[in-house]
Amino acid sequence: MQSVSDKLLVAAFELEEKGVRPFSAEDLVVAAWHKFPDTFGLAGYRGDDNQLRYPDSNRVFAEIMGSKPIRKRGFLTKVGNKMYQLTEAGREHARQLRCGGSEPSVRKAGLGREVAGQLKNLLASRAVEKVKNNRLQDVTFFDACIFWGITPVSSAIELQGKISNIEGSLESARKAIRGNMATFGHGGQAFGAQDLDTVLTTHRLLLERFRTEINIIRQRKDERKV
Amino acid sequence: MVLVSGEFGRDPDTKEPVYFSGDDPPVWQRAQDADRNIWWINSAAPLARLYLDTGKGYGFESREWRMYHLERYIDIIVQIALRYGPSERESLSASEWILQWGAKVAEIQPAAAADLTEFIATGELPKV
Repeated sequence: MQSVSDKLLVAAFELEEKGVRPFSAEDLVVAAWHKFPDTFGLAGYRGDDNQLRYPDSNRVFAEIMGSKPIRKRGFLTKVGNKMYQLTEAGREHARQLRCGGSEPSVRKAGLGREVAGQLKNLLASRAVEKVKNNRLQDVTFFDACIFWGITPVSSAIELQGKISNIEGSLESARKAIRGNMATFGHGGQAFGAQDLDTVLTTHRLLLERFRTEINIIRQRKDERKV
Repeated sequence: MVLVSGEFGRDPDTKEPVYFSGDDPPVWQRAQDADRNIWWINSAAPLARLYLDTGKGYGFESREWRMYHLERYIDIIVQIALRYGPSERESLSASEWILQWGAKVAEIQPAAAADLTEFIATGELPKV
């Protein structure tokens, strides 16, 4: 385990294992310093045991608040004001780091550009974010429209096409990653089967929650603009 | 038909109030509204909420709300014009969409400025 980002990920994972989920930035500052004092300790303040005695919050904040790897690769997500939690990809990555002690084999998924782009959007969508944070009641029809790529005036055929397309893309991704973690591009955001399950669950929940709207659209015969 | 959501307007058929969320756009339609040409100005949108807040010196009768209402009205007209205009079948890039949106707003704003100055000042609609 070499990088600061990997160490922070493991510290965050161990916090979650202790039941601190979500955790605050300050929780992570302290946990990271306890676990890796040489990396996350405040320089210049060593104790009798030669260990750095205080945590360096800037070191952690710089990693989690910017576009550093832990955020860029989708391992950590912000769930509130200075509150964070690991994504499933982050947890899996941390497990592998802790067991093997070396860089886990997260490979490029090899998806087509269109499917990859669609999956990225779905994974980052507001609907998925709300479902992941147990806020299904806050999901609106507007969120569903963005998720599916429709509008309130879409025709039945357009809606069906979009729904089939999402289900097809999820199936393609599932086959491509074969249960492993994968990225959209080299060093990019990582995702796994559990993330795909979350998108599929969101899709099904939206179909159920907006059944009335879906039925109205399905009854339309004319072609309208999506 | 343009209505204001929440306590300010009701669905003309069900007579029920319609509520949107602060996460929804400032102007929005449900699927059932699209077929009836009904548009809603979302009173839960953050700026709408501000301008409808009597405690902050605004409210439904305030000049600020009338200006906000008028701007959202223009948004709706532009959305309708773009949705049903000549380019409705084209798949536009973001840049093309911005240009078309700008052109439509530029077309509509002079008329609004000329005809609705009195409405903004007093709330009285011009006689037609």
